[in-house]
Amino acid sequence: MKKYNVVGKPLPRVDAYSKVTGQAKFTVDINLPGMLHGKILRSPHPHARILSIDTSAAEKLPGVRAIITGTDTRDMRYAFVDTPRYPADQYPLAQDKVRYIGDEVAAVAAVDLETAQAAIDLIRVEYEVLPAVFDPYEAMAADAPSVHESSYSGTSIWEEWGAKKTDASRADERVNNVSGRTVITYGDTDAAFAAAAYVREDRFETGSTAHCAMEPHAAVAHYDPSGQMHLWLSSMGIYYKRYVMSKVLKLPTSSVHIHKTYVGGAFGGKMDVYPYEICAAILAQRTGRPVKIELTRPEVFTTTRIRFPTYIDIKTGVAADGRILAQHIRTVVNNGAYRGTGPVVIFLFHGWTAPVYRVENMRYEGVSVWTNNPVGGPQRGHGAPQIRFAIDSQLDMIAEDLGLDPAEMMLKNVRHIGDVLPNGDVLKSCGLTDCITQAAAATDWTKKRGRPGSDRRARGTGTKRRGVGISTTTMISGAPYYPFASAGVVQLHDDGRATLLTGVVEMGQGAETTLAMVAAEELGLQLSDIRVVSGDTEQTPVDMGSFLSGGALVTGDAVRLAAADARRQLLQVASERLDAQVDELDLSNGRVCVRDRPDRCMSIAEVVHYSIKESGNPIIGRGYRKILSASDRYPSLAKGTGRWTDAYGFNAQVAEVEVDLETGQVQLIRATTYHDCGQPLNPQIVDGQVFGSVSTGQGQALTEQLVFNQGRIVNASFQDYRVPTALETPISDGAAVESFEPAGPFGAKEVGEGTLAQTLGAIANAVYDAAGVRIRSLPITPDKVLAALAEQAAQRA
Amino acid sequence: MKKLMLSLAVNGQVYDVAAFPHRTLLEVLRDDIGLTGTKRGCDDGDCGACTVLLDGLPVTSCLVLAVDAVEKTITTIEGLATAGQLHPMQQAFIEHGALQCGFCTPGLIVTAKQLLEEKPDSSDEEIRAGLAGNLCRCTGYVQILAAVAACRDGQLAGQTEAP
Amino acid sequence: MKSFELYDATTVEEAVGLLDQHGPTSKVVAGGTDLVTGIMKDWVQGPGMPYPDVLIDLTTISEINRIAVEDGALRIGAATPLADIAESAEVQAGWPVLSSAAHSVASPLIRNFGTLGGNLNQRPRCWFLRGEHFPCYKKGGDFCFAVTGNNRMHAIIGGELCYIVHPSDTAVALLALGAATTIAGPAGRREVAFDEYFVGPREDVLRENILQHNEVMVDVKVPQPAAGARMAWIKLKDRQVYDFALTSVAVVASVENGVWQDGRIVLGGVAPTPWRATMVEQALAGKDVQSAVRSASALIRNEARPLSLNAYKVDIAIGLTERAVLQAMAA
Repeated sequence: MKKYNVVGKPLPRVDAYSKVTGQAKFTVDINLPGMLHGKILRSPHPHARILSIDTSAAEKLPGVRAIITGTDTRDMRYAFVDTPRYPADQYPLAQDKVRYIGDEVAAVAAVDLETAQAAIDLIRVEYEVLPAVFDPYEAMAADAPSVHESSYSGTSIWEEWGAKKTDASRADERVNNVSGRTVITYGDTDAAFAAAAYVREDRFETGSTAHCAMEPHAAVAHYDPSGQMHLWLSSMGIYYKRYVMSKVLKLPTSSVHIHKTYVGGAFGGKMDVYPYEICAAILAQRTGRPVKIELTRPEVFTTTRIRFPTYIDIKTGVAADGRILAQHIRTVVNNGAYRGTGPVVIFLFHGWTAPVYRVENMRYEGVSVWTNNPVGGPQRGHGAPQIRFAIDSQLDMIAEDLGLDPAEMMLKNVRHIGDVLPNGDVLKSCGLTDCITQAAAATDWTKKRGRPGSDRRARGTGTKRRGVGISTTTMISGAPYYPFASAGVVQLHDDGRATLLTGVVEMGQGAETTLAMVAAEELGLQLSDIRVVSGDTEQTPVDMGSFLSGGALVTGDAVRLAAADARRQLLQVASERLDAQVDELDLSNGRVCVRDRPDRCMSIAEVVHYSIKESGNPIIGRGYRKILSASDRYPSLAKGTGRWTDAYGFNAQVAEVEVDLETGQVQLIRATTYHDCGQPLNPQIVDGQVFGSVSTGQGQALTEQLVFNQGRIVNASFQDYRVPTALETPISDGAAVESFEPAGPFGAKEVGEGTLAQTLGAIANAVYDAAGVRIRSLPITPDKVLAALAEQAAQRA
Repeated sequence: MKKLMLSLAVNGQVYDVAAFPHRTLLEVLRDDIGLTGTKRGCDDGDCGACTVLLDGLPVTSCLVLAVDAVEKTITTIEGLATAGQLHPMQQAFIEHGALQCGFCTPGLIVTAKQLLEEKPDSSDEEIRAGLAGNLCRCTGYVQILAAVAACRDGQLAGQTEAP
Repeated sequence: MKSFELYDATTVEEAVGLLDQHGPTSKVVAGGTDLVTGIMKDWVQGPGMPYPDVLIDLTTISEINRIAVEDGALRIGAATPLADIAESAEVQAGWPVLSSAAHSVASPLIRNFGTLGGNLNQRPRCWFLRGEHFPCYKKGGDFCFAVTGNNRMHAIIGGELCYIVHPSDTAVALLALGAATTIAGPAGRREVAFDEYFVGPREDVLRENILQHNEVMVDVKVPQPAAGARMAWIKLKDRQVYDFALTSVAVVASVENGVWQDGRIVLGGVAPTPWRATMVEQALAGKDVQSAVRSASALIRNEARPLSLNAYKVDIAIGLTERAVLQAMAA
C-alpha cells in the first residue's frame, strides 16, 4: 500500500473542538433578532378532501403575524423525483386533498411558539373523509381508492437538466396507485432455471424504520429587502436544496443563500426539501422577519420520510456446486402518500444486487405503490438493507439445502476486479473476496458455523444458543443527480497555511476532516495547516451533496484537484525563484526544495509571499469533478440501463448472536466487518462509520419498527421506537481490506452507507444458525422467534 | 398566569430570569440564557441530549421545570472547559473520535464526566450502564466507550488547542 | 407545554388543601418525569382525563424525601428519587428485590429525579392512551384501540374494556414484599396495603389506583422480611434501557430445605395492575420447589386471555416465573 504523510492516519476531527465544547452551531441553535416561530397544521386524516379552511379566528389572535394555506402554494408543485415519466406529486401545503396523517395543511408564524400553536388550534378545516388504503396490494386492486387522481402535466426538472421528454401519461402508471415500476432483464432466465440443479422461491418482508438523527429537523428563513433569501437548514446537500427552494419560490438560484450550520445527523432523512422549509421561507417573505420552524420529535418520525416497507419474492436457480445461474426478483414497495424516492428505491434494489454476486440471467420487477401511509424516502443504504437481507437469507437457505458452507457459496458467486456490470459500470476495485475470507478467518467461521446438519444442541446450555451468520453488500460512490458535480477551492496564505472551501455539509460523516486531509496530502502540509470553510452557498463552491455516498470519491477528488492546482502554481512560482525546473522540485513538510539540494529551499510561506509581491497571484487552486466521469447517459430508473457510478464499496460481515429459546430474545454479541473502501482516508473516521452502521443495523434487525394504526404511527417517540443504547453495544471489530480505487483521491471510495445493510442478513442467518428458525420478516422480535420455535417443535412432534 | 423571577446558578454564574412556571430548564437555558450547547433531541426524556448536572447529578433538563432548578447548581457543557483548558473528558472524546454529528455529544460528555467523578474506577460495564440513557445514532457507542475508559485510565495524549 | 399555575407546598397537608381547593384538574408533581412529558407536553386528554391546569410542587416537602429503617421496617418517602432507593445500602441489604426493581426503571438520567411515588402512580404507557388521537376508555371514550390495533405490548391477563399493562416496576416489588402506603387526604392520613391499592379496568377504567384527586401519597412502608427470605427480580425488555417491562417478576419467599413455605410471586407487564400469581404460590406451597416450579408456573396459562399479537407473552410470563423462582432459590 502506498505511503502517505497525512492520508491514512487516524487524525482528530477538525470539528471536534467546537462540538465537545458546545460551541458548534446547529440549525436549531440559530436565533436571529425579531425572529418569529412557525408551526404547521397537519392532517389528522389519512385521506380526506379539504372542503374549507377558516383561518379568521387564528388571524385575530394577538401575536400572530402570518398564516398560509394551500392557496398560497398553488404554483409550487415539486418533488425529489420529477422526471417526464414521474412528474412531481407534492405541494408545500395540501391543495384539494390530504393524503396521509401529517400532510401539511397550513402554516403560522407568530411571536412565540405558544402563540403559533394556539393559532394552529384555532384554524378550522372542514374535511370530507375519504376511504383510505394502507396496504400496497390492496391499493393495486381495481376498486381501491385513488391516492392521486391528477396527471401532473408540465415540465419536469429533469427536462431542465437535459432528460428527454417522454409520454407521462402511460396507462400502467396512472392506474391502481402504481407510483413507479422498474423492469430489468438480461440473459435467458427461462433456460437458466430449466438448467438449474436446484431452484427455490421465498418471500421476505421488511418493516418500516426511522432515521433517528438526534437533531430534529429545523429551518430558519430570513428574506432581506434586497431580495435575498437567507436560509439555515437541516440538509445533506445545500446546492440541491438551494435549487429546489429557488424554483418553488421563483427566485434566481443565486438569490437563495444557504448558510452554514452543522447538521446533527441525517442518514438520508435530511436530503429531501420538506414543506416546513418552504413554509418558513414563505412566512419570512410575508412577514419581513426571520422565521424559525423546528419540528417536534413526533413530527420528525411522521413527516420526514421512513424506510420503505417492502415485500420481496426471490426465485433463485443454482448449479449443484452453488453457482447462481438465474434469479427472478419481484419487489413491492409501500410508497406512502407521495413518491418520495419510491421509483428510485425499486431501481436500487437491483442496483445493490448486480455488483455483489454475478448472476447472468436476471429478471427483476419492482413496483412502488401509493398508499395513505407516511411517505417513504432514502435511509442509510436506501434499499440495500431490504434486498441484501432477502438475498443473503435465501443464499443461506440454499447453501444448507445443498450442504454447502454459505461463505464458500458466496465466494463462488462474488464479483471481481475487472467485472463489467450489466449497465456498463466497471469494477476497477473489488475486495469482496478478501472481505469474506478475512471476516471468516477472524471469526473462526468454519469451526463456529460447523457443517450443515450439525447438532445445534451443542451450541449452548440452558435456554441460550449461539450462532453465526454472514452477509455481504455494496454501495455506490456517487451517482448523477443535481448539481452533478463537486468543486473545491484551495487558497494558500502567506503564513504557509491554506484554506479549503468546499460546499460539503458536515453532518457527522467527517467530510471537513477527510477533505482537509486530502488537501494537506496534496500540498505537503499537515492537517492542522488547513482551515475548512464548508456548507455555504455564497462562500463555498458547488457540491453534489452527501446523499449519494460520493463524498470521498467525487468531492474528495475535486478537492485533490484544487490542491493540485494550487501546488502547480506554487511550484511554478518557486521554480522562478529557485531557478530550477518544476520537475526538479519537491514539496513536503511545508517546503519547496530543489531535489537533493537542501540548501536551495523556500518555505510555502515564502513562495506565497513572493508570488503576491511579484505578480499579485495569491495562489488559489480550483478543482472540479463530474459525478460520472466517463458517461453522459443518465441511468434509467425504469429499465436499469445506463452507468451510474464510478466505483462501488463492498462489505462482508459475520454476526454472532445469542438466542434465548425461552424468551425469544436475540442479542448481537459480535459483529465482524471487513470492508473495501479503497484507501481509508482517515481510519478513525472510517471505523466510526462502520461502528455506527452496525449499531443502526442491529437496531433495525432486532428492535426497531414503526407501528401503524390506520395510517398513524403509534410509536413516534424514542420511548417506543427502540434504537440501541450503550448497553446493547456488541463487540464490533474487523478492518478495511487492502484496496485501491483508481478513480478516487489517493485510492479512496465510499464507506459508511452500505455497511449497515449486511448486518440485517448476517443477524438473521446467525439466528437460524443458533436456533434453527428462519425469520423471513424484519425486525426479528421475540414474538416471531417464539412462534417459529413453537412451529419447529410442532413439526418435530 | 404570570412570570416568575428565577435565580439560576449556571456554570458558576447566577442569572436572573423571568419565566412562566411551565418553562423547562432546557428552554430557559437555551432560549433565555442563550446556552445552546445543551440540545433538545426529543423533549420527552427519552434521549439524553439535554443532559445537565443539577446539584452534581445528570438529569434530562427537558423534564425539569426551571423553577425546580432554583437554589441548585447547574452545570452545562459550556461549563466544563476552564481557562481555555478542555476537561479531560472533552479531550478524550476528541482523541478517540467519539463524536460524529456532535448533537448528542454535550449530553454524553456531561454524563460521562459525572460518572467518573462519582466512581473514578468505574468498570467497563459500569460505564456502559452509566451512559445508557444517552442515545447516539452516529457512533454505535464503540469509540465513546473507549474514550471514557481512556479518560478513566488517564491515557490521554495531550491538550487540544482551540482552532 | 400549555401553561399552568404552580404552587409550592411545604407540608403534605398544605398540598392536600391545595388539591381540595382546585379540584380534579389539579395535580401534584415531584420529579415530573411522567407528568411533564407524558401528560403536560403531549396534551393527552379527554373527558375522563382532564388536562391539569394547577400543579402543586412536592419537591419542597422534606418529609417525603427520605429512606429510613424503623423497627426493622423500611419507610421511603414518596418523593424519594429512584436512584437513591437503588443505591441505598440498607435497601440493598434487606429488600434487594426493591433496589433491583428501582434500578431497572427507565434510564440513569431519569432515576436521578424520577421518584418512587411518581413511579407507582404514573399513567400507563399504552401507545393508544399516549397518542392524542385515540379517544380510548381511559380518556372517557368508548373503545380500546389495542383490541383491533397492534397489541404486542398489551395485557394478557385481567384485561377487560382496557388492555393496558401497569407501568410500574417498583409496584411489582412492593406488592411482593407485602408493603403498604400512607395516604394523606382532607380527613387525615390512612394506611393502605398495596394489596388493596391498585384498581383494574373492570372496577374503574379511568384510574389505576384508589388515590383520590385530593389525596397525596406520603410514603411507603415495607415490613421486615421473614428471616431467611429469598428474593428475586427479573425484568424482561426489548432494550436494556428506557423500556417498560415486557414482563417482570418479583419473588419474595420463605423456603426450608428446598420446600416452599410461604411467599409471593408478582408479575408486571402482563395485566392492568401488578398481578399476583396466587395459583402458582398455592401450587408451590409445601412442595419441593425444584420439582414443582415448572408445573406450578405453567398454571399461568389458564389465567391468560391474550390478544391477537401478544400470546408470546404468555410463554414469556411462564418461563420468566420459573426462572425468577429458581433465581430466588439460589439467592
